[in-house]
Amino acid sequence: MELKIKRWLIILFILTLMARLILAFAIPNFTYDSYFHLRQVEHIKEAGFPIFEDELSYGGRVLRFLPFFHYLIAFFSFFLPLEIAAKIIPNLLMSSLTIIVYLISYKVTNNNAASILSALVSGFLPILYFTNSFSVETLFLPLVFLAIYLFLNLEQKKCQYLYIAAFLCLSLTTPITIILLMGFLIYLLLSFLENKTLARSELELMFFSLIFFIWVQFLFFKEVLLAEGIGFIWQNIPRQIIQQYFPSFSIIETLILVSIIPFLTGIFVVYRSLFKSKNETALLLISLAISTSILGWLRLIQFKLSLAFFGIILSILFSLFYDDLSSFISRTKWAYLKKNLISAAALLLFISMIFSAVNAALNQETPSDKDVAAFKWIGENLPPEAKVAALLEEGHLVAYYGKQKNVMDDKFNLIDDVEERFVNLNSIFTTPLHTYAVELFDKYGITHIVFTERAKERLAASNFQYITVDCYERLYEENVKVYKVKCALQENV
Amino acid sequence: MSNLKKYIQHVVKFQKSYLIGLAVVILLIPIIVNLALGKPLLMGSESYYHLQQTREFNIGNFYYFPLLLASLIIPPDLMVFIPFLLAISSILLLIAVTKESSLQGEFIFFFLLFMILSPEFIHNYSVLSANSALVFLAVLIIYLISRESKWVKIMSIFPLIAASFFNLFSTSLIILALAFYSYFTKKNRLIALILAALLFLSGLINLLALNQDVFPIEFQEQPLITGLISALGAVGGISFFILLLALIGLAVTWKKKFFWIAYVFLLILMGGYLFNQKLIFLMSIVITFLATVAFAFLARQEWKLPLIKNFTLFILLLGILFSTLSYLNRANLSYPLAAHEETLQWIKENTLPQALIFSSPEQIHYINYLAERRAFHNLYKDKEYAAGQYRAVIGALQLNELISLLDIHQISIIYLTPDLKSSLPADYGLLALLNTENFKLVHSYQGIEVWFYSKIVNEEVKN
Repeated sequence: MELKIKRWLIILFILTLMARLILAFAIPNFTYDSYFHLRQVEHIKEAGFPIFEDELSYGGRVLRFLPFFHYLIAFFSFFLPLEIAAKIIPNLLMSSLTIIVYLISYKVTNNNAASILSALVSGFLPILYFTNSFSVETLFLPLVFLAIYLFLNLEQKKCQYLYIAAFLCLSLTTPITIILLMGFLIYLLLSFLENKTLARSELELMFFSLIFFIWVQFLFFKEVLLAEGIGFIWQNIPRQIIQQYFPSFSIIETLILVSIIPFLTGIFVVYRSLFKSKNETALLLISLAISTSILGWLRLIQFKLSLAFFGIILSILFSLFYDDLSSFISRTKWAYLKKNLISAAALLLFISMIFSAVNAALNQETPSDKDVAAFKWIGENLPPEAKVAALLEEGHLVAYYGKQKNVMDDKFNLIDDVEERFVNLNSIFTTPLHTYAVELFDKYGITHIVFTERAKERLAASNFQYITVDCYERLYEENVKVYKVKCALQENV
Repeated sequence: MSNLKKYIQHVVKFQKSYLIGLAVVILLIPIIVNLALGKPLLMGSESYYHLQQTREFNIGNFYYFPLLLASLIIPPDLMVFIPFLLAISSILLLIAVTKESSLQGEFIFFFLLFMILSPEFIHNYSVLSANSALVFLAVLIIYLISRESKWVKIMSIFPLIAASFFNLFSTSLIILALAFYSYFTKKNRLIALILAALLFLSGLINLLALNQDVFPIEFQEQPLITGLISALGAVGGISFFILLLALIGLAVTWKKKFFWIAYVFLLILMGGYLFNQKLIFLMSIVITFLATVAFAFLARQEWKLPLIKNFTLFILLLGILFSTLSYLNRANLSYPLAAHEETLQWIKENTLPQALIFSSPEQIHYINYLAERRAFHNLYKDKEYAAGQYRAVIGALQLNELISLLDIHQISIIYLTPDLKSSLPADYGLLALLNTENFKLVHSYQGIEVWFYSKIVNEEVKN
């Protein structure tokens, strides 16, 4: 790599990292689901292993998940305070995508300028600006593209071993690695249709990846598979909120989140690669784009993750577009414009993406400081046998800051009565009937209830409707209301 | 690698000892688990169905005579060794038969190894199953007709006729197998054709005279995919890795001449499986065969990345073993539990013989055999009608509605297992209605409850 290019790449990486870190630290807390991972990392740090038998979630349940991400962050948390590490490391990982995308793009186009532009696109893709999300996806995305890069360089022995290592990590990070395997399958199919013979080593590694991935998933999710059968794919998500996890495809949202230029150029490149030029490396990338689209469309992976993956593929494909465009311009009478093409493209891309990216970051759903303070107060003041009813998304906050049992959170696997519980939890927040609420408190052993600012906003109400002085004691005198439940149904008293 | 080859050659050389040893260990595990937990050694609804048939022995089910004889000699708990012996005999016969075939020793070893490790094999040879007897008879027929002596060949008529008493589908499969055999063999062509014709005749007589079923009797109902894959909670099922290998096997053998026979059987069995899940065992044999072809192909093939080759084959074996262990791990959950036996024994001793018991369909054969009482589902031959009435009872919301259904069917006892209870709403419906004065909880043991319906409670209780 030329020194100048290396320098540009480092500048781009630092620029992306700075932008992400500024946004991450400007927004005070993490996204709601992050608190689950924070708790796991904290436990690994203390005890050496994750919480597979969780006494707090749902008041006590069995949890199954892949722990590589948590171990990785636990390692870094020995050198940095956990909440700082949880902001820096994921953003560092996401920023590394610029380098990985550059490498893949360069492999595809052999064009430095085009590859730098691709790196720029990946650095500021709005869909990737979940800067306050401490989630597995922040490791998955760079790792999966690293694996793809290594796969494209299998002719080097070093890359073969590195690919195996990357794939092992991926298999232990998230089941969504299935995107890669599905992509391989489509790649095989497209290659067959195009009469292209694949290298033996490619086939061997694909097969190995498939077998290893399935084996690891069986090892970790044995109970989930047995309990939920084929339904494990949909993670036992209650029907009422499945639309939230797997929303229908919206072209407008897609255009905003992956930005209009990479989207349109990507579609153009896919068309050209499939039907006109027969770029072999692009075929794998297109297969991956098809794979993520199919899985997203079939609601097998969450829409946002599918879009994030798709966005990165588009950013790589942008290099092909730019490569074609610049060679086209050099053949025209406007060849003198080629000199300024990269600057103009970079500026256009940057302007078209930065506002959406910042907007996406600012619109992340995070708890307010007041809500967090209330949950911290719960952790310090409630007795250990308490069970706290909070909104579904606040379940992990109850367990992480509150250190109390929650009624429900968004880890639905292996929960028998998940739909009934979801309906009942909502009823606790919306019912005007005191007796019905008390019946539910009895049913789930709820001792305390919390009405946060988030609940106010979501339910357009200022408090529970059934609060009476006799039955509920207000414990926390701030914006957030924490009540102790003092009544029970007559027969149970 | 050379060491690995040496080991494989060694186990192939002594495959009989290794495979029998493995089968003995694997099949003993559920028995030991049941013994340790104080459960009846004989598991599965099917076992109790067949034992009940021996009690109801008559001209219509005369083919249960061998089992009747066995049940008179062997105590019920030791009956579990019948499928165990069938497994060992079938393996020994298969080794003897395949030894004389053109199949390679390694191939036979891995085929039998995968078969023994398959959850479907363990399931079928841990219960008194018709499948285990059918496979034994089929292998015995092939063994006998492949012998040199003419008289021994003629002896194959007996297992052949016995094999025709199972169901029309399996009879047709054996006829097809004999037809293929006659097509490929020169030596035994005539005898194979005669046997196929005899079997056809016997099957026809069974169909007309005994009104034989087309498909085997099903004892569990599961969604098709769940019932197919062991890891998804199938009662037996096939390892996912075996299925995956079988797909590769299909691709590998696609253009090879001999394998069209496997495709024919696979297609027929897959078609049959759509209608009857009991056929999964026979389907698993064909699938395991194709999986072995794929495994042998992957092992023999030169790989560009030899390290990956060894690692992949190792993971495949681990994956297959994982399904086996995962299935054996579930052995403690198999029915009947000690609590079922205790409660059904209580019913047998404390209720009148004509009492009719309402419970979930999975409990029918345990009720019949262990409590020696009729279950609600025994009343009706029309399964759909019985299922509809069953749903009406468990879904009844009003007391009048429930009482009228119980009176219509003359149900006097409700036998509630934890499974049935967990599938019902606690606050309304059957469980809530049981807490009215018409019903009385007369026995409760480890979550299993026996309720008497009060209208006839005095008539039903002996004391």
